[in-house]
Parts: sequence; C-alpha cells; structure tokens
Amino acid sequence: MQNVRQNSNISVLAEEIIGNILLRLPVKTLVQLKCVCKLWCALISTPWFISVHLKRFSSDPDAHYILVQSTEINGLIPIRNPSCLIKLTEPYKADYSVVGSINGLVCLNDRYSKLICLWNPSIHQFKMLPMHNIKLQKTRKCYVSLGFGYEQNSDDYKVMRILNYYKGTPLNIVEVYSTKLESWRKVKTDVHLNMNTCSCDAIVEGFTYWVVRNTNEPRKAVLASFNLRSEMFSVIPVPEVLVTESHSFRAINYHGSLALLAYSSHNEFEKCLEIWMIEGGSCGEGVWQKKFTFGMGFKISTHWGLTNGDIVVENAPNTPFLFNLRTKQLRIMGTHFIHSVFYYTESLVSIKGFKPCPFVNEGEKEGFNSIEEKER
Amino acid sequence: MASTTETKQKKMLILKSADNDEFEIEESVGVQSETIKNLVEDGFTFVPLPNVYTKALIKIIDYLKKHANKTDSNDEEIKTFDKDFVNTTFDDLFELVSAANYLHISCLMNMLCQTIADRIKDKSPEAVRKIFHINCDYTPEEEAKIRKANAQAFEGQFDESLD
Repeated sequence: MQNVRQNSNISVLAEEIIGNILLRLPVKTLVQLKCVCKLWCALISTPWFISVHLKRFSSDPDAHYILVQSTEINGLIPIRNPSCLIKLTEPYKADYSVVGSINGLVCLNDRYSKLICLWNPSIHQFKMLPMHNIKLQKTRKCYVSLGFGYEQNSDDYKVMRILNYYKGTPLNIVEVYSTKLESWRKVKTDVHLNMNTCSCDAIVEGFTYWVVRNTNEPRKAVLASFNLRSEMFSVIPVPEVLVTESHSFRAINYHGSLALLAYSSHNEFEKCLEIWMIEGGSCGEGVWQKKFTFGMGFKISTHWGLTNGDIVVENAPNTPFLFNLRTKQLRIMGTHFIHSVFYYTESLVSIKGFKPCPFVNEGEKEGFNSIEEKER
Repeated sequence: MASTTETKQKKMLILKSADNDEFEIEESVGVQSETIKNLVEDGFTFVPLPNVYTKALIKIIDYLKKHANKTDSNDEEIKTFDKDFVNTTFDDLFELVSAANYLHISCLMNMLCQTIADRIKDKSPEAVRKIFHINCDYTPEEEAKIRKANAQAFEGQFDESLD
C-alpha cells in the first residue's frame, strides 16, 4: 500500500488520512471544504463520515448550543459562551415553533400544526414534509400534538402527529412520518390522552416523551411516550410526590437518558432541584428514583434542563441565566423573554430530499408561503 | 535492576528507510509502532520501511525515543517536545503523518491530524487546495453551484495564508 506518492517532492495524502484530519473540523469548515475537490466533497457527504463526525462532536462543548425561542428572536446560544446569541437564518418566513431537536436536526411547524419542516441550521438545508394523511373532522374540536425523534437501528428520523378529539371517542390517533420511507403512516394505539402540545419535552435515542397535564386535574400529570422502533405509544406515570402543587417539573434528556427535573418550593429555606430517573428500563416497567438533589440557594420561577446537565433558569422575570448544578457556575445569557429552550448539537446530518434554505432576501419568493400554496 | 530486564532493553532493531539509510534503535523504542511490533513478534530484527523516507524517519525515531521514556515527572518536557515537533511546514507534516499512518503509531497520528486540522480550520478552500497540492476537478459551473448551495457557510473572513 502506497501512502505517499512522491511527486517532485510533493506528498499526496492517502484518503484515510484526509478523512482522519477532516473528522476533526467543525461543520462550517467542512461545508466550505466541500468545494476543494470532488473527492473531499464525496468523503464529507458519506453516511459513515457524517455519523463518526456526529459521535466525535457529541462530546465537544464547542458543538453544543441552546436553541431558544423568545418573543424577540430565535437563535442559538453557544454553551461555551452563553452571553452570545447567533441569529438563525430560518428556512422560511412564517410564524413557526420548534417541535424538537436531535443530532443537529430541528423539527419546525407552523402555528396551525399543518406544515412541518425538518431543518439542519448548520448546513443550511431543509425539507418540507408532505401533507399528512389524516384529516380532521371539521365539526368536532380536535387537538393536534407533535413530536420528533430518532431511531438508530434503522437510522430513521420520525415525526409523530397525535390527534385527540376534545370529547368522546375515538382514542388518540397517531400517525408517523418516516424520513427513510418519505411518507406518513397511521400507527395503532389504545391510549386515550387529552394532550395538546406542539412540541415534545424530551428526545432520547429511540424514544420521545411529552408531559401531559390535565388542566382540571393537575394531579393527573403523566408522561406520554413513543417508542420509535416499535412505534408503540404509551403512558408512563409520574412519581406521586412530583404532581403536587409545590413541585414543578419537566421531562428532559439528561446525559442521554430520560429524567424528570423537579423544582420543589415547599420549604422556603431549602430550594432545590431534583433529578428523577427510571431504574430498570425506560418504557415504564421500571421504578422512578430520586437520583440527585441539588441545593440552589436561590428561588427560581422557571427552569429548563439541558442534556449536558446545565440548566436554564429565571429567578426574576425575563433575566434567564445558565446554571451548572455541580459547579454552581452562573452565566448570564444573551437573550430575554425566553418561551422555550431546546438542546442543539451541530452536525452534518442530512435527510433525503434536503435542499438549501433560500437566502433571507429571497425568503418570500421561495419560502414557506409558496410551498403552502402548492400543498393546497 | 534484574539482569534479564537489562538484556531485554539492549535488544536492537535495524530500520531501513525508503532511501536505503539504516538506523539502529532499541526494540522497546520501536515497538510503539504497531507495524514494527508485529514484525518483531514474527522474529524480525531488520525492518525495511519502503514508505518512510530518511528525513521523516529521523524525526519519528526522535519522537519514539522521547515517548519511550515517558514518566510522571517529564510530562512538561514531553509537551514542549511535541509542540516543537509539529511546529513545521505543512509538507513536513504530511510526510510525517503518512509515515505515522504506515507505522501505525496512534498517539503520533492523533497529534499530527489534530495539528493539521487546527491549522486549516479558518482557511479558504483555495488556500486549502494549495496547501494539500490538490487540483480542483470541478468545472467553474459545478463549483459555483456548490458554493451557491452552501452560500451561508461562506460568509465572513477567511485566512488565505499558506502556512
């Protein structure tokens, strides 16, 4: 095997060495380097390269961001430097909200949960999903909930659409979009939950979770869970102690596993955050255990948990900061008025049918609205 | 110190470069290379390296000697050595990385690939092409298309230098 071709004292590197070097570069540089030559472009675009790169950067803090939606702006806040806010060039101009994010892909939907889009902000590519199959009965009030997730075995990103009529039967109707099959498919379920959420609360590899609260009966809060491999939709009870009024909790992905991040304010002097996790399986057969308790030393009004163990908290209105539970390090964030927070890792991940996001000034020409027209 | 250890340490190998220069090194130094280790395990004491030229081999032997004597106390010294080791031209780094790849010296491979990656991180595609001696095989239309599709990645300043 010839590693170096001596060509008037100029060495040409073997492809495996080029790969080894390129795997260490951030997404932005790699996108630029695609135009070096055809070989580099092909190498950077292979599924092998994309997945090894994702794995390598999943432990690199420089590749991790908080995707915030605020009343002012939607943007990325680098975990390394939370006072900075990077404005996102959205794939279309419309009111949208984030459903969820995993492996660098972000699922967006419009206000009416009709149009759904998958987007990789780091490589500036997006795809509008085709219209779903199940139409609503116009005469009855129906809630639509959405979720997003990833299944590793089939390397498939899926979007879940859960319908529930306000009163009476049928049970929840669930349909799933597979990026591999590029189509919607109805999934059998025997669950009946009154849920109404356009975003999911926790995405863990292979599972997506929503916290479902019954506004009339807060004690009946449960977790809805979707297994992306078996496509089973099920209900997981929440520890009884957490559904009392003195606790507020969120479901989060905590270092790759499902956890509940609970804030207890029942004792004026012992403000603390608790991490609850299921021992022995994530499908509901296990038992919830309180794994960690972190003394806060201050009161908080809202909190969001992040995969890396940091939390976003507010203790005064509209002044969010990033807080590390272990080091107690507190950092001010470059935004105010947050209404939702997602964990985002940059990646090269691409799905079938991705196309470049239109430029900002061309947005209206090629963006959301024109696609909406076509779909009709 | 036991005498058996001493005899073991004295075991020598001869490495022969692609330009036919021969270097005698201690076996314990050489076996940090997986390629050499496999040959030694098969009983070889003379190791021809048809893909490694003398210039690179001298530097790599230096590296292996330094790292063979790694202890808790000389950590700083090795760090300084490594820093000087990679402080060279891209062409030298490419020679070394190819040699390290052929010799299967993983820690050296890591260090060299990381150094090259860090140094090209902010460079323009044109500069990277020159540094890697790559002829662009896109037609101007094809290249324009790729740039257009990824236009947002090309915003901002590039480092056009070649060192």
